[in-house]
Amino acid sequence: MSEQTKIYFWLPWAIAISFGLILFWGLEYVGLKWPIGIWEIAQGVDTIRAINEFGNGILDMGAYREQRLIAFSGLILFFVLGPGLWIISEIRNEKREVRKPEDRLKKGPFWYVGVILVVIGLNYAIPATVMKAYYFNNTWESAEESRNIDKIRDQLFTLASGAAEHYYLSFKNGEEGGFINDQGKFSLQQLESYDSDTQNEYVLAPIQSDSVLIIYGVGYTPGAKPDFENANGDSGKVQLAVEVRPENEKLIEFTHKNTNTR
Amino acid sequence: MNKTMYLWIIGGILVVTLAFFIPAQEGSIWPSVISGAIASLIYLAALSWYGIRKIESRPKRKVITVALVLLVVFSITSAGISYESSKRQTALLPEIRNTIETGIAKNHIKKPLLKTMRTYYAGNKVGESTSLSDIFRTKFDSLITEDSLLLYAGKDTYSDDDETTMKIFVTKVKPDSIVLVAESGYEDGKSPEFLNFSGATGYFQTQGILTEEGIRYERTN
Repeated sequence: MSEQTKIYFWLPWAIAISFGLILFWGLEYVGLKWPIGIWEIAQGVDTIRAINEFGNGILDMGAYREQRLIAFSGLILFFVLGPGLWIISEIRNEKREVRKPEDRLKKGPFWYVGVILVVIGLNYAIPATVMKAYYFNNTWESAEESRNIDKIRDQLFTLASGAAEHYYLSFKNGEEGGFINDQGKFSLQQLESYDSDTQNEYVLAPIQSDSVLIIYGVGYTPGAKPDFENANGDSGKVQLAVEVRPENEKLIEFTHKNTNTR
Repeated sequence: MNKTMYLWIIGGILVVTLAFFIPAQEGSIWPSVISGAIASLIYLAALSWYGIRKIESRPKRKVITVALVLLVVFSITSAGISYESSKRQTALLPEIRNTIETGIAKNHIKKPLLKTMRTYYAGNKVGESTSLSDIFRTKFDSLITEDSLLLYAGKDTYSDDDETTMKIFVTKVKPDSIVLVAESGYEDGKSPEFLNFSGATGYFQTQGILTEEGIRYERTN
């Protein structure tokens, strides 16, 4: 074969793959993802619906026609047309009569469309899946931490209001009341609500005054500082604190002092 | 040959279209997407089985097979992650709202009752008033509306549009007891038949009862 008739069989592949990559990243660059993210669109609609339900408490049964159309187009393009045209074109090209060696480079427009669509599909599916898998754990770990913090805050408020109530009742019948009195020192175990949260632990700071208490809530999820010393002897766990000042206008106040949250 | 293969594509489009549009076209689009995706996978498997073996070149068969397997495996994984995230998020937002509602109910029932207790027990009496009802009225009368609703921090008025707002009702003010009822307009209670204080049914409802013995806080629905 002379130098003039040398055939570069990889050339159509290089053209199709380059074009697919340019098209994919070009669309990404201009911020147009249509209609690539089929699953993300379905997820996005559910997010909008959940937010709407969060706001008004009514189940959102909107049609979301545009999003449906986008997801539908994605399925047709990347799972039907792309692979279909590619396979058909390969079969047809093999059956075609080849008169000159360079005829093998003539793949036909359907072959290019098919390969480009599959390249775009792959280009999206592989990196997007890897990224999603990475962020999935992080996102839901954060959600679990938030859930843990909400539970601790709720229980701390219950214990704090119980402690305030205990404080006021200690003055019943004109007795000398307070968190430290003739009956001894107040302890959380005196409250009925103390055992109602078994997942997290609640600890009373040493009582310094007969009218001020600090209660710590220690959770099961990690806090911001891994070397933080928790009030219950653990380390690095999430910790919240609430101050109870029954004589003040603000009876119960959450504080950031000696806490370990993000 | 050409005709048969183009019929494959048209058939594929028809099958996926049918599968996609059979589920109800309202609310979540996941049923349509899942149905369409399953039809696409079945179509791809059938097309590959029928078409790839007709390609004589072994390297080409391999390239197509690998590309399609990668596309399918990564797409299924991606779809699975998105679906799971979707489900969790859909569950999480109402859970957050419920947590907020429950917190508001507890906070805005207990605080006025605790403040009444403080005056009643800690000797901080207002004038000659000594009963729980007198103290409560003195402190909170200006915050009680004609409909016996108690205004609270962040809620300085109730309007007819406030259907989903947490309502705090002052249901009983007696010398020896005060009862506050918190009713959600959003969060469902345990029993859907429960008749709420406002006349609505099935919503979350709690109450706080203050007596000389202290505060009894309980969930009524």
